[in-house]
Amino acid sequence: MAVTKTKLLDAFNRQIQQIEQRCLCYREELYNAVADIIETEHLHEIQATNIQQKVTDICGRLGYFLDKKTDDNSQR
Amino acid sequence: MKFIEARFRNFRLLRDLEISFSTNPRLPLTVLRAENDTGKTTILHALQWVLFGEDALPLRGKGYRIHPLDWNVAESKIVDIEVELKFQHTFERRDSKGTSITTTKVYLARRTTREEVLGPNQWNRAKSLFSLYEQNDTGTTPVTNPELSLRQIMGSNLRHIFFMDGDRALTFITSEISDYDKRKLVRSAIRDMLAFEILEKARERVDKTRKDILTKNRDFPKADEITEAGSRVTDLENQIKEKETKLQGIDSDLAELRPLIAKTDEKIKNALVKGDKEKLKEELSTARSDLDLQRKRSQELANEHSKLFCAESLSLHLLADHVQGTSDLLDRLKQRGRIPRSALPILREYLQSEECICKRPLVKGSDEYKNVAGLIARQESASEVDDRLTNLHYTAKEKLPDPEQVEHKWQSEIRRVVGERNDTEKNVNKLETKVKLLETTVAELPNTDISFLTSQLTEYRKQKTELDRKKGGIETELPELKKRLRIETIHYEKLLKKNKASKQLQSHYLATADVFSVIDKAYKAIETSEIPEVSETMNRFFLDMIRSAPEQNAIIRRAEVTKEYDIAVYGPEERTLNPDNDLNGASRRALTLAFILALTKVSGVPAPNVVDTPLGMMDPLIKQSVLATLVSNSVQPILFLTRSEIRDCEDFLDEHTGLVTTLVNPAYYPTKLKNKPPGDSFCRVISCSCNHRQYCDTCELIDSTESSLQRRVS
Repeated sequence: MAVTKTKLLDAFNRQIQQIEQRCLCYREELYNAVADIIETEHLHEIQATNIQQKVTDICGRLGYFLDKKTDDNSQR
Repeated sequence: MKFIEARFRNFRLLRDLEISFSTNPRLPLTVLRAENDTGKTTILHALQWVLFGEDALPLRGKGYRIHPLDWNVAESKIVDIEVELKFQHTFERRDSKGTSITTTKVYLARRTTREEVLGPNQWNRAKSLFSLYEQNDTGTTPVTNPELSLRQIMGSNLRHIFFMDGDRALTFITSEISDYDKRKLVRSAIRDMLAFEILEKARERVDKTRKDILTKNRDFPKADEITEAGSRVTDLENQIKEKETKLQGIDSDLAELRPLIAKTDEKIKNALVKGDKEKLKEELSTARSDLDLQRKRSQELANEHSKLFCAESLSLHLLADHVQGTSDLLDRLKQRGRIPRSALPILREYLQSEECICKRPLVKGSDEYKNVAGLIARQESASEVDDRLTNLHYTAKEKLPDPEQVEHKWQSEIRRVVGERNDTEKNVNKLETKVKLLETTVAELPNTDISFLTSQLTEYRKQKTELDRKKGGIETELPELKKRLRIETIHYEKLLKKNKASKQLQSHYLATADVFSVIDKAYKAIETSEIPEVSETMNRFFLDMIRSAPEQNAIIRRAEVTKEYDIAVYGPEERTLNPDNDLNGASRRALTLAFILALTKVSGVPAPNVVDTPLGMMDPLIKQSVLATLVSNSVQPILFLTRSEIRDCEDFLDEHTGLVTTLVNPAYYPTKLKNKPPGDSFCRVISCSCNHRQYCDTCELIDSTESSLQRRVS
């Protein structure tokens, strides 16, 4: 990757701090999701992958996390 | 990424060459000292070839000979070509808490190919093979997917940034290409270094995911629909509950009512066994009435009985013989025609009408006529006594039409009356007995109000009937309601399930929207802040390199990367300076170097900057400034410098250079090289370890400038 991941991820982190903490550890998971998407895109540059599906899956993973946490909170 | 060492075999002039690179962070500069045509550019190409393959070669490898020019075809037409590059790379990542985690690994990249020499300008080159090995304490391990792994370390789009041919370093600013192409190059360089394309694609894909979710979400039920379905279920449940409660109430009432009915019925039965007091009373009343009637009748009969002894019929019965004797006498009188006189008017009337009493005609002169006339004549001559006898006669006849009957009549009467009186007396006795019995019974009976109980029982039964009716109605409605409830519940649960899926989808959407927002805003922030930072950094480097002090009225005041991706230079009063016409060669090189260095610095990418002859056309001060800027801002500056480039920079190089390798081309003996280089082949680069201040038998030039250098003893 051209720009360092650290630099990119720092840029993401700054934006993530502006995002609502929808549930416990949401921002951390959001960070992981964004990092994974960028990593996936970087790999896709080198070798073709089913990139759209992977991106959707990563977003889905975060969505599932949010849904589960929200469900847990509502049940409490 | 930092280069450690490289080995070249049969790559053009690089027949068998090894060079090392400085990895010392305090002395980061590596200098390859070589004069023109001594393989500097070849090394540049070879290093790019090992990392990026054929596309990195001039003309993308087509028509570009790799095998040595003086290859002995007689020995073999096949030339095995190999370049190895040992490098280290530090993998860095941040965990979710922001803690930096780094791992440094050492790799050996090897690329080989084979060229078949067919003629002076003909050859066939096989597809190159690339392999990558990880070197560690335990040995060397091949890396799977070597190309992929290498691309992760250094993308192929960065080749132009990190490998720069000084003579071709004006690409970004030269007028030899169109402004459009220049902008494209600058834009491409910035975008590649700042990963714009990755960010754009990531943003686009996340946006597509987001839109796909929105499309899916349209298929899900709305809140109203769910609420309504829920309400229907609740209503039905309430209705069922209400009905079941009612049913329970009815059952409870029936449970209370049944024993009441039974009890009341029992009471009535018990009362009836002993006797219905009311009925008995009624019976008693009837009996009393009957008794009264009988008694009355008995009295009447007694009167009638006594009257019989005064009745004419008794007289007749007792005087029948006498009356009969009289009647006989009177008959004889009648026979004689003496009676009855009282019939004279009637006889006269019948004679006049010439009709007898029996309605037969009385014809004048007939015997019947004469009889009646005679009877009239005799009557007219009779006396009063005869009249009275006539009356007696008829009265007797009247009273005793039949003497036997006279006798029987009174007897039958008396018998009848007596019989009736006896019967009546019997009835009276019976009735009196009955009345007495009833009175006793009634007196003995408890005061059970059977009619009240009966009416109560009737009421209870009526209530039970009503309750049974209601129960029947509810029991008919309930299964229907329950059936509807099942259907509505299934429908509601389906909606809830869909809603749950919708809720999950909503969470998915929110998460995706957040991801999109982060990437989008980061992209915009990078675009907004990083490009100006590149511009600003470039400007700072450039001015440092060319030693321009704008505040001191320097001609060149500033340089920038415009929004249109032009690299622009400004003079006094912001007048635009044309790089081709208004900048000297040194400034133009410095500008390109400044741009690339700024990109490298801002992106923070730790990669070597391999620059071939960066200091051409520069005076000593500029050279020193350029060197200083390069060394300060590059992770690993690797510079290919001629001796003239090095001149006047020795002090700086003393302080910052970690490794210097001198390269010589034996082909330049004796035109440039003073001494005959070792070996037979002249078309190969050889090296020695002389630094920038030294020379030796291998690299000594015939140039008088060698006097500033020290002879190195090998």
